[in-house]
Amino acid sequence: MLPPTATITEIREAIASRSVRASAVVEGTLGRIAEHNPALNAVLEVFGDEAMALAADLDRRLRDSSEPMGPLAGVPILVKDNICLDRGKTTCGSRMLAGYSSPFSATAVQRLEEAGAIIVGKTNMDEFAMGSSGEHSYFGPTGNPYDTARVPGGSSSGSAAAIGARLTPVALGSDTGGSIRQPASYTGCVGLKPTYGRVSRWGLVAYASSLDQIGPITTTVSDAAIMLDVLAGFDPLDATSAEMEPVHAFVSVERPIEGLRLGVPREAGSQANDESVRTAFNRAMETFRSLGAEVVDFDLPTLDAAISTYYLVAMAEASSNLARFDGIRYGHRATLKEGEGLEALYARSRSEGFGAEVQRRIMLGCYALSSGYYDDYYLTALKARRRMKQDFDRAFGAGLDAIVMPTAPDAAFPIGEKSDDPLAMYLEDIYTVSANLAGLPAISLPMGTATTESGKHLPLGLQLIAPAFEEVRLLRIARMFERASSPIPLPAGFGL
Amino acid sequence: MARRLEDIQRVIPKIGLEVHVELATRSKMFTRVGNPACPEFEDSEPNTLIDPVVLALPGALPVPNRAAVEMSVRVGLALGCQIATLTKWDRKSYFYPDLPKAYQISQYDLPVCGDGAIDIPVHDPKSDEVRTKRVGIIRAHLEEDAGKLLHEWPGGGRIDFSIVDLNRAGTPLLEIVTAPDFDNADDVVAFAQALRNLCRALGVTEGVMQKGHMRFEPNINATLELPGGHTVVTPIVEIKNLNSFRALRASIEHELREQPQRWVEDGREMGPGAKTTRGWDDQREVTLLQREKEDAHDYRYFPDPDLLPVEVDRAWVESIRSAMPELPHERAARYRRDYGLAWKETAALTEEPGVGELLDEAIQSCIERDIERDRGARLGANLVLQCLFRLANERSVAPGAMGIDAERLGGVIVLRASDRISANAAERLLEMLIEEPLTDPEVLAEREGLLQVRDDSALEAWVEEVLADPAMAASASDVRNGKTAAVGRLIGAVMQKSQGRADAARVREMLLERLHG
Amino acid sequence: MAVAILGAMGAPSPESAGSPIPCPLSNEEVCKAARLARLEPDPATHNRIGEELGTILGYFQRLQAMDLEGVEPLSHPLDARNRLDDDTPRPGLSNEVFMSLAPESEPPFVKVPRVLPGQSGA
Repeated sequence: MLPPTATITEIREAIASRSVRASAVVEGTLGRIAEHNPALNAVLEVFGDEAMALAADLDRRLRDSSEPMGPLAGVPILVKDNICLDRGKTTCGSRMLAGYSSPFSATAVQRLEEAGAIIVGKTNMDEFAMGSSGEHSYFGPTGNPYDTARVPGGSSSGSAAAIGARLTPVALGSDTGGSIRQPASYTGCVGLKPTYGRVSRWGLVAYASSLDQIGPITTTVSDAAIMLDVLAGFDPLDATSAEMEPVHAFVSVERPIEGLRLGVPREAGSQANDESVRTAFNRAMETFRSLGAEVVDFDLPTLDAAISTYYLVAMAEASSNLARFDGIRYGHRATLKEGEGLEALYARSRSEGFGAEVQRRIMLGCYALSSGYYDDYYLTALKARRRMKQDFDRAFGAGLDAIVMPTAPDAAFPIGEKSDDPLAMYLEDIYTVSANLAGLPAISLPMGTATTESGKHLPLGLQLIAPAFEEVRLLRIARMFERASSPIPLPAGFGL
Repeated sequence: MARRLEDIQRVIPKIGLEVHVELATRSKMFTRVGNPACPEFEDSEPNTLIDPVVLALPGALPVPNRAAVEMSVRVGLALGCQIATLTKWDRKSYFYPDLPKAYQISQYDLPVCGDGAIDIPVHDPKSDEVRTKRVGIIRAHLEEDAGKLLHEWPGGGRIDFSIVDLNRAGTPLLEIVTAPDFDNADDVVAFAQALRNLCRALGVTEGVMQKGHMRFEPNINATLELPGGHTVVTPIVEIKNLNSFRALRASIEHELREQPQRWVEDGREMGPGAKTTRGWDDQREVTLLQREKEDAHDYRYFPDPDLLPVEVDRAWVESIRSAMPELPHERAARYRRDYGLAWKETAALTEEPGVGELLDEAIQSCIERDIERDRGARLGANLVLQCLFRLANERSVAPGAMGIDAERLGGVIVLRASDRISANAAERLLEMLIEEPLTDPEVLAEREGLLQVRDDSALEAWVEEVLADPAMAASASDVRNGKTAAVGRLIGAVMQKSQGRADAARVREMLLERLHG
Repeated sequence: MAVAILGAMGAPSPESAGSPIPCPLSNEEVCKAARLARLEPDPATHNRIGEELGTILGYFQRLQAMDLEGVEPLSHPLDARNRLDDDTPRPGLSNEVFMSLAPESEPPFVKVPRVLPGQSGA
């Protein structure tokens, strides 16, 4: 029997050597979800019978044949509920899609299944991936395993909380402005946002198409590398997917980083309002130096404009992407009163179907694109976005191998603390959004903890950003850091 | 000052035209499900040409169709347009039940085809003269069509709700916008017809008007000349969604009659926000003002983040250009110039795709067999116009698709041009070739006894037989007495005996020789 | 040799400095945005929404302070072109699947409230 903390690598090896059956692994996972999910509200739907049947089938094949196994054979996995699966529901955490069944699966999901992974369930999330706390779900907020009265971050809240509590070794998330990295930071996980175009978006319900990317949340850097190897690849169904050679990250991460140059933006310091974040970050820089890396500071002047730029682009695209939810072909349709017509159908269905934050962003996006405001808001944001990309190009061009920042300006905050202040919530994303705007790969991994007044540990995340399509370098730096630093404590109360 | 109709001394119309052409690609513009504008899929049941992209399901993404881009470039080249080096896709947002994403993917500021002009021939039926009209093209951009919102059940059943059919949603649509270069309805219709022929010749659409393959939207206004050198300009009216040449002409003529009247009534002049949209009532033959929503024009165009720009490099353009056929209006002009054919004939010969090519190749094969070009062309044109079109019509197929290749059509022309078969026999031979397309025309003519008999001894025998017939005696004596016209009856009798194979000219010679000699 | 220590350098950034100038959207502007978005917020909340949106837009206004003269807009991070597909039809979804998704249908169609003929979206 494997412990619940078993990694993908460990599960894979145990199953391959026949020392553990896939059925036992899946059964263990299902048991942990049943036992611990009520405290977290991380998982929305569980495919118990189906997952057990798949595991049994895999065990039979392992017994009867020596055919090669996929790289994820028997690994139980959770999928964020904005990633389409051709069974069960795909709700996006919204009333709008509470009853929606997708007739097709996302390319990313298909790749996982082809690799032998067993999908055990779908995870809770901020509605349509809009939120940084996990509080904006129609199906209720998700708790942080380190303190269930605190948020796990968002929008991949359920995926991060589930991995933080080790319900499964891996979950899929999506990252538009930090939605994988920030919750990974809050829950002590590793969260990878690949380069834009690396992983197909076919089947990822769009929030902001030029920013969205699917990625894994795992407990180790090596597991993130295995996941990237499986997920990455050109997809003819996504016109923005990159035509690149296959990635072989897993076999390349165990290499020293001596001599690499890591850059810390001068502007980053003033954004971290939490003392423990600064302390942990500065200690992390010492670790990098001890590994032989050079840590330098550099100018990233557009960091100051990142939040405004990001939210304008994201809201504009979202206002258009979410226009299809009109109550006509699928999804929530309002009941009309006698004499009401098409316009009432649109407005009522959408007002009933979308939560407050989604409505806010759609309205702002419409506003930013509307005649008379387009130039001042949307177009200006696109120009600032170009500036930001130039800033990164210049930094990497001048010899930086990666950029280092905290993932979030603070540790997980109490549920409800920022829910009445949307702008305060947006400012949480200060460190993460630039990687999306520039399309760069970025990773968050634990760098320490803060301690609450009641003595609880709250994980803090370290973020690395690399040039486009340099995930292998990114993961290698992350892996060396992980190896050199002591692991953070596991959350209490989850049988770990 | 009071506005009076009788003060308007002159009305100077100004008309521009927008044309929507549904491209007949096999799959849709942004997904690979069947396209109803392609004959392969045109009879599909409602809501069956659908997939996640057409239904705008969550998680679906568009991927553009290369063939649609190439077809657009083909049309752009034919219209003399600049082909954009870089073209991109934009979203045009509005809510409507036939628009699944609530935005249409279109091209806003970088259309695939820009600035161009085309010279089209305009025929004056009264003088039978042909003049050239230059039409400026502002742009042609590629977009996707919407589905259909229906207000009655197909076939006419009444319903108290509306229903949506999304088969057409996502069909590639090329929107061509002309400069306001027209000042009368005739020229607009001539351009529209030339454009239809051109698009059909380029193979980008079937061009079936009843099926909505082409839709027209004229923009019309006029300068009114008033006493004392004053002028006023009427507001632009755009007439939406016309799908016949008749409606195009009638609606423009109607607007040009109405606009001076309307100005007298309301005094409205051209200016910002003065443009209105009207529909065409085909039964009552009037245009009707369409109601507009207050936000109808806030389309919030922005670059589609699901799609990347398309670079049309010179090599690509040249490879498309090199595969283009001769354009119908150019071919028609050549026929008129080189072969002296009449407008009506050249119009007919160049309307249907494939006909001109067939004829040209057949003429070429005649020239190779030593038939003089003009004679071959004349006979060939006649054969196609009088016989091939009739046969195609009887069989309800396109004249180019009758199974007769240029080599065999040429063979028939050669037989006719060298007087080896009669005009009637040529038509019969052509008809037989449809049934036996692989047979050599000469072999077939011989087998079927269609070759003219020119052997004097055989002809003499028939002539003697006829002259010996007592029933012919009266005609024979008429001819002897100088009434030469009476020879016709005798020739007819000989032809009958020969079952049409006798060389009528030689028979006439022989008869006259015998009776006068 | 610069030594990167977070928090030790850098002047307070314009984004984090001070609170945004509140400039609430008028009820008319709220209605316009809601109309474009096809949303119908409760009229009782228009004032609050106007304040929220105004605060956020006020914050975004800071972009105006950047020198963006002559900067080419960047709408997409991927610097690739010509992602075009061959024109080969593939099977799609059945009408039955569509009907099973539709909230209200009259197979083979989806139903919507009666719309006046002749009206057009575009």
